Amino acid sequence: MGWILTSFALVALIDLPPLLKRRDKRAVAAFLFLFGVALTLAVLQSLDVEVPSMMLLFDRMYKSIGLAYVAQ
Amino acid sequence: MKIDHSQISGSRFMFAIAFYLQSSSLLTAFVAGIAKHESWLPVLFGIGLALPLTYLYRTLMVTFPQKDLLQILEEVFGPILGKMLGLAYAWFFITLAALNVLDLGNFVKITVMTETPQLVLTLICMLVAVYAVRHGLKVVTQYGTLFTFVEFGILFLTIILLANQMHFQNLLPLFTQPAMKYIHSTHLILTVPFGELVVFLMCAPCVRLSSKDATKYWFGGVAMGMAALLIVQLRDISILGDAISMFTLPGLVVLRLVNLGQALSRMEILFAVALMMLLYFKISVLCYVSTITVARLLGITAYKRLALVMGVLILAYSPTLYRSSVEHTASAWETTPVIWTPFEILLPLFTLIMAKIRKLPKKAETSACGQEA
Repeated sequence: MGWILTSFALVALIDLPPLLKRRDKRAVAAFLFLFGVALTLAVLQSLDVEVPSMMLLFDRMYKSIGLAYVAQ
Repeated sequence: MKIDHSQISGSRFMFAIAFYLQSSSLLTAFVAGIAKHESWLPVLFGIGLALPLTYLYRTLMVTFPQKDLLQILEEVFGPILGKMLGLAYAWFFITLAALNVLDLGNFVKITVMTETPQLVLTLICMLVAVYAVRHGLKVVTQYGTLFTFVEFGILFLTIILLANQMHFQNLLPLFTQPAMKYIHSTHLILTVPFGELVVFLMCAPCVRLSSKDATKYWFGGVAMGMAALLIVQLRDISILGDAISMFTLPGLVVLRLVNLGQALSRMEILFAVALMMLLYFKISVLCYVSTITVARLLGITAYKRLALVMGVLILAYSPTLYRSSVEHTASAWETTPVIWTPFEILLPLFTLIMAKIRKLPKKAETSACGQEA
């Protein structure tokens, strides 16, 4: 967990200050959004929490409506 | 609004397409698992169907000069629907990148660095990719030409080294399986390597191309990629026969069979070199496209500052996609071609039809773009 937080802090230190300096609110918001999603995913995985797979979600959805090939 | 100000030549664009397609030769095992020794047939059918698809992408690029896919969607469908479709494409590009990162981790662990943690391998590749993305498309595609020649060199070298083990009767008999298997595997080959070329529509504003050159370079790149895919498939089947369907990486198995005296054996290092180049290039193109897409969606010009965080997001997202390689293969067989079809075929086709109906782009706009170019 420690190295995850350190790595993310490093990422923020590299790219966030120049964005704040530019006063580009959209860019800061985009950065924070991507950063937040990535950090959440990384922390959940390090805590062995099973994150639902988007691909398997679509997999089940398409199968339920019959839009899938049958493995032979 | 132009996000990336770097410009690449038509020939560099062509080699980027060629090498991107070559990198999918690592994934032919998906097709081989379905059509076995006949899997070169779906590749051939896929090539036939990929030609009109390439023409579709080329036409979109020429019809809307200096515009990327998201700008085209917004112009054709309006800002709200255009943005929603853009959001769906952002998910598609990020997921494609994450799937390739997953493949890189798995393949390198199987082939060369069995003891190294997967994250270390993918992290190193991603850091190099992010460095390239921060310097623009020019740097991302910088080594495409060299890599394409190296990959063709490795391909021909392995054919020479393995010529004594090739049995072309392994390619026969033909049409022994149910028709559905050919449809299924052709759909897979059409969507997994060829349809993924839709990512290059996001690079369009950075390519210097006239409409005549666009045809030449799009089809030139696709032809080189197609040739590589077909040759790889023919080589592997002629050596392994039906057993090709048993392996995750038939290319690696085939290279392990090289045995020309004691000096020329254990040639799988060639596969490892090719693997690193192929997947690194594909990941950097996809990381670039994902970053540009998010920047375009939110109207940001400082895309370079989003590259690292995008790389980290892709790294964190990739392990969540599939719990095991068995699950990955099953999903790739059963639903991936269907999930990818709207993004790669239906939406671009519908966009072009709508543009023709609405007579887009408006003439004044086109000539202004032409003058700019």
